[in-house]
Amino acid sequence: MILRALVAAGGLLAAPALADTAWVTNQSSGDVSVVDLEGKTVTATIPVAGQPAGVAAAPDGRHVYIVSPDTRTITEIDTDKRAVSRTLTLDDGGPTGIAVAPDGGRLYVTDWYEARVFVIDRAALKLIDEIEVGTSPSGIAVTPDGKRLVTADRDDDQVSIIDLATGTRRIVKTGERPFGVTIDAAGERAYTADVGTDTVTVINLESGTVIGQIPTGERPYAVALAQGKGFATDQYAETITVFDIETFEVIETLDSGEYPEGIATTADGKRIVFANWFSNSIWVIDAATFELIAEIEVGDGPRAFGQFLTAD
Amino acid sequence: MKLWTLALGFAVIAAPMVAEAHGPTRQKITITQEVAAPPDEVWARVGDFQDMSWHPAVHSTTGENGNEIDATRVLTLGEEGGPTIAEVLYKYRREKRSYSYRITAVEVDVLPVTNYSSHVTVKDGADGGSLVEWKGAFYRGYPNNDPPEHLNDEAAIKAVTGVYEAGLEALAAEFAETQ
Repeated sequence: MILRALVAAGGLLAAPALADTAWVTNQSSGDVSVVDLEGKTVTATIPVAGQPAGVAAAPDGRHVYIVSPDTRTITEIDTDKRAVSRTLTLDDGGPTGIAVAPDGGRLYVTDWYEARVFVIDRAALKLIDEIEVGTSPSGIAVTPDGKRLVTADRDDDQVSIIDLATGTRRIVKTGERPFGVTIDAAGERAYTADVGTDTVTVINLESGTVIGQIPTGERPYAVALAQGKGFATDQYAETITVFDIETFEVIETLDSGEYPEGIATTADGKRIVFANWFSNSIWVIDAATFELIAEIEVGDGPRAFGQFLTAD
Repeated sequence: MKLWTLALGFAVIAAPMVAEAHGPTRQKITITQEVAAPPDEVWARVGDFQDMSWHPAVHSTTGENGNEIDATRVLTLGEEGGPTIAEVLYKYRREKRSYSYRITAVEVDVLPVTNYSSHVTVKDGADGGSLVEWKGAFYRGYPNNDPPEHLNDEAAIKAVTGVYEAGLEALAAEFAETQ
């Protein structure tokens, strides 16, 4: 459990080979493809309410949480049973992105319509609080120490950094229309994919300042971190922009399927996995050699927006 | 024949739009059409971003920078002075007979979509003919939950499907006449 929590954001711990599972939200077919990344096969397809986009695996790996904005549903999947265990339907709003607190106690869900974050008690699966953020919050992430919550406030061109102990909010301007946001394993930086300016913005969370900006292909969606590099999915360009996280230089531009979207790093930090929304596939790429390891067909319209991988 | 919607038999509606906001679920469609002509000939007809005269709803095409990346065009629909759609080219692969473009400005009463991108590809078809593929990705016209009927997901899919089918059927008919 500790290992999972530490490596969840793409850390570089030495770890034994792990069997990773991808939980891919298919927005058009309204289900979740469960993908065995070692066997390179879909082992289950789980129907869920609505048209799911956001996804977050709990750090303990017992549950994966799925968000459907149209039906306002949070769906809990039991990872052992590979079945829906509980659901929560919100009264209003448009839940979009989701993150689970590192201690596993709470779920944080952005509301695309009402500039807020829903705070949900995981044990009760009940809405307990709301946090004000900027307009059209989409991507969301929590630092590994559980102290800070970061949202990409898309239509305000900013991130909100919430101190979860005090509730205070700081705002940092990014490129235009940040969508995905990723926090590094050290909890020091956030990386936003800025749809409007075709950039990744790198933010120091302690100082609340922008420390770098990287040009990407057209319409970046989200960022994963692995092997000292960042990987941004460029939806329109059909590429992955790879950049060095120290120099912020672009190292390589990789081909992807059509409309690459959600992206995450495997628990061993060696591979990245992303969904191709139009192609209905996920691709697995070696983060060091950039070799395409696997191409796996999933359901219709995969978005995988969030931390969609678990490791056994 | 003033609007895409009129030209294709849909009701005319009017609604204000926020240009960049969009609904929660992006839609996609793929329409293919067999054309009885060699792929290079069909590509010569549809492969010029500055000439969409192959589509019956397009009155004129004006634009800049040919088939370069970031080239622009404005389609005037129906007749002179008709409604317009502004588009930009973001991918052009002559060797694959394929290009991609997106709409930069359109009213939702002309086409009830937002954040629209599109891809045209001429593939090798059967018996030396062509298979033309037209793909679109877009959000519905209404960005929030509970959209009115004329701006919901179904309306967006129906409208884009109608545009693609009308264009591809006309293209097939044009080549059928010349063969």
